[in-house]
Amino acid sequence: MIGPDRRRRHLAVVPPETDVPETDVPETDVSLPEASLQAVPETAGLVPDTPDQDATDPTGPTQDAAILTSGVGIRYGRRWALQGCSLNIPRGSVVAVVGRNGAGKSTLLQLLAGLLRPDAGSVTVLGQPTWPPRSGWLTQVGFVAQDKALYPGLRVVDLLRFGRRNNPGWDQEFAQRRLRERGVPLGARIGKLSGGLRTQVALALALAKRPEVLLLDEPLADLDPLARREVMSSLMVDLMERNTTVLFSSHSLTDLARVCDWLVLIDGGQVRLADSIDALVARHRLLIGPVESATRIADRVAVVSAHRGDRQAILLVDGHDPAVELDPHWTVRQPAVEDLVFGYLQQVP
Amino acid sequence: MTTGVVLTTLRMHRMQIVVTAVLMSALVIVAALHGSATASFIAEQRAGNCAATGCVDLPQQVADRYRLLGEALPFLGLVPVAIGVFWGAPLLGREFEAGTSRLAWTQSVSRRRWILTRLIVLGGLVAVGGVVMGVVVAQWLSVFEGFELTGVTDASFIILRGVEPVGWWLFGFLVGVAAGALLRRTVRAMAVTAGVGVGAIIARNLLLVAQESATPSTGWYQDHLLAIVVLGAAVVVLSVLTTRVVERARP
Repeated sequence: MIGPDRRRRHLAVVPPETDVPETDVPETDVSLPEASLQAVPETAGLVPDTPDQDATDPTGPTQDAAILTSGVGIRYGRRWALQGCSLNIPRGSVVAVVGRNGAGKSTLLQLLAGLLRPDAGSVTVLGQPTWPPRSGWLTQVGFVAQDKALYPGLRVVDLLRFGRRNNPGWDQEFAQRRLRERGVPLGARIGKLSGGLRTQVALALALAKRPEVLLLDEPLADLDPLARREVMSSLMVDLMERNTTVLFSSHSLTDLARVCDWLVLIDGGQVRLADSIDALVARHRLLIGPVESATRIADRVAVVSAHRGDRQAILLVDGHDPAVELDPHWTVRQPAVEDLVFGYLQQVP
Repeated sequence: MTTGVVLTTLRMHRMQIVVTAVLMSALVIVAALHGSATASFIAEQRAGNCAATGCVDLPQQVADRYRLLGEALPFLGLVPVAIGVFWGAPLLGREFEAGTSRLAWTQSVSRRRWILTRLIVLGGLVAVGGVVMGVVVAQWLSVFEGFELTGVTDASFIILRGVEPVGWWLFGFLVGVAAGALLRRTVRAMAVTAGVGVGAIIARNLLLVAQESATPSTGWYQDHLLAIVVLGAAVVVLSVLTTRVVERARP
């Protein structure tokens, strides 16, 4: 059971904020010439089967699932923006939804918010189908859209009144306090606010609804680094007590890795990874060793992706093999979340 | 909750409601002043007090007072088109265009309730507007009864008086809403609404002309009835269409 203590641990463990490096060199002490690094496509046989199959088996235990999808697809014209998406996310998880721009993150979040009708498969959130969205269910689900579109002609107070009038569980006092603390002038017109303040209003609107599932599509995009940090920790403090299930999408993992305990990685409309971060980290290994023996090693393990330099190679592998780990020329490390994300994004399916 | 949805609807369309109310009030005031002045003038002349002022050719005097009114009234026929353009088209067009449909449809209100509340509340106000215009114009023209004047003794202002304006106002509104639902862009929806609305009014007038020439000055009320039935059916069809589009639309 993923509980508040796990989140607290993640909050405490993570080092100060740094930018994610462009390449997935795991540690600075690995002396690889960066320029010569390149992703090497692996042959099909070495690529493991989609590793999230058993974790997201829709026939598995559903009692504690906040989000349960099975083979969901969303099509825009002929293009599938999301395909074969199966998730089983327990209640109380804090989920990072990562992937490139256009990978399908927004589509997934809108699907879960009841804004899109699935073209294939089934979706339940909090045990109820998301389509057609019913008012009793909508009460329990909060959503912040990527563009943070709010009615520009309204003042902030008007928008809070809008929230109060349209949501039975609305917490007006909380919304006002949250906005005042962040310096949002309640009398200002939405259209006159900066992007950062508009994000704060959009977040307050979704939070004051007091949802059980909160879906935030790129919530930090318009915030400066300080505000990002503040927003993330205030969200965690607020949501931890309620065991709220939260999904954040982002194309930068840095802000999310600190607080999330679950990872959903989407690429090209497909879910590539979906599991608790602890399980993913425990399951994978980074192998670092001489490039000459890389192929021999790679034949024995399920390589997700590989970087080969002039002398050294770094392999991200799924599962571990004691024989390889005993090889004196090879160093074995537990991957960081970033290593997993970059490794899987560089994987050629 | 229901009250909340109604109040939200009124707040979101406050501008249209206020502007329309002001314009309709102006119409009522002008009609009351001009109508009562004309009525008392006619009554005075008919009472035979013309000795003091010098007796005049009453029909000519009344026709003079009526001329401007007779020229201005046809433009009121375009009010339902304006209702469609400014009340109807932005209702959904603006939500889709600005992306606020994502905000609106993730509140604790089902889409069906969301759109039906808007159609009923705003449609109700539009209907009231149509009733006011129909009554005002009918009262105004009744002052001129007994004189041979265009629009008073024939059917040329039929779409402006009685119950027919209600049908036209609602029709205009729903053409606008449906255009916004289907086109998802405010300006495009406005243009289509204007085109459809003006086209329908022209068609209605052509029908009138045809009927006038076939059976002069008969079938007035039958024709009224037919128009109301046709407009009512269109309103129902467009409401159902809009509701279904909203229930299925991608935001």
